[in-house]
Amino acid sequence: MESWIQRVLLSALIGLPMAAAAQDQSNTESVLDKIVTPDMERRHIEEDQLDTEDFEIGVFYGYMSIEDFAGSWGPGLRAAYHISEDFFLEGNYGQHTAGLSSAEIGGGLPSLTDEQRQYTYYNLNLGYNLFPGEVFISDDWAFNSTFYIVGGAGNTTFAENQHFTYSFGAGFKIYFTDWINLHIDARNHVFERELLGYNKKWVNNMQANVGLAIFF
Amino acid sequence: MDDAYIEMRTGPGRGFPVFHVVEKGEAITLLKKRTDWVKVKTKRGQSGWVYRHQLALTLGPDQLPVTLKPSGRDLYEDHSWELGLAMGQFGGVDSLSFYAGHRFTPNLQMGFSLSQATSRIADSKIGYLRLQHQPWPHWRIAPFFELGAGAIHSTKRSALDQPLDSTDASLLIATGVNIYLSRSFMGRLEYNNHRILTSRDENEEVSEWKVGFNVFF
Repeated sequence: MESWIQRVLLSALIGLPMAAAAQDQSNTESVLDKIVTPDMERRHIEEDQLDTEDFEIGVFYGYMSIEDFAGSWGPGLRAAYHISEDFFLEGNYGQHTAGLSSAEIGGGLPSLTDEQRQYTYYNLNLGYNLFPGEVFISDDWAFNSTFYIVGGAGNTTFAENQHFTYSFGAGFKIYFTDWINLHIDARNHVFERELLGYNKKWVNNMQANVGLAIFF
Repeated sequence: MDDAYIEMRTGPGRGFPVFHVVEKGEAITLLKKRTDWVKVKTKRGQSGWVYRHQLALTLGPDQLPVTLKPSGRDLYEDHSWELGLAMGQFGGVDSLSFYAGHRFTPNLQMGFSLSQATSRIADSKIGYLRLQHQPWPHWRIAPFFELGAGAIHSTKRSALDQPLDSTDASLLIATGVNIYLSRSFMGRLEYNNHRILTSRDENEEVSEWKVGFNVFF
């Protein structure tokens, strides 16, 4: 209605010939408008104007069991984009330092240098939220929570070699507020490894993490 | 509120419980959005999440329903951002790529890609700035043509060859199809031809096939 009146007024302004009836109507309406309508901007709301919070960024810390070597604790960074309430894309980057392997201790393998013990990885995964719901702590606390699974691929640098790595895992996330959450997850990093020219095989490196993340 | 009632949930998802109902005529404040859910606050100060489609039944101060963004197939034809992952074969070596792009017009998109291709003896890290042209952006299966410029860092280790560790400029010609799948997903199938401008006498040419998906928003 408003826009119709505006159009009529505008076209009247730029002197377009109008049907007489419409002109009468617009005249009376514009006069009425001035009397009745308070001087107030009536805002139209669009979904686009809303602040969206689909990105998540966080840190985690966890233990990785590196096949054939002593495992280690290490930190990591995580970023995610939430596609829908079900699906998300995530990227992780983390570092560990491998301990001694039994082959190094018992002889047979030359020792790796400190630099070669550096285990760094990144991966890009598609995730799915499985069981959204609430968890209850005592009588008066209820937090939103979800169980999730992830799967994807990435790259691992270990013993100064690059390895194409498949990664998959599952986790549990609990929301303290709607924008900060704590998650616990377990992941597996699978790649084919050849160590110093020996022992070519597929390895599974299991990892357990705890992390904090915020939405923005 | 112009509907009989809307349901407020404790979280942004259909799996979270409904804990409150807003009646027709009640005023609500819209706070923020996450995926398809909008956080609202009632006059009495209760806040919860409502499904975005219910906003179409909510009147703004101008007595008109809230204008919703397009979604699904409409958004596919009218989106402005893309993020994607792809896996492929870069000259016979497993590769993984990440892509991010912004669409300036329905036909023209600019973005960047980061890839890594790894085998037992060689490793390449590739970064490109890319320009994509889609002649028929409204098709469900839409072909595209792409040009890119960037750099490639490769290391090679082998007992037979000279070890190699070099960074070279590289040019890209790519073609493929985007396939609208559902919601905000599209599949992407592409062929990339890399021209690596080496410091050696001749330039190297590498072919790469990729399959992946992009999400758009």
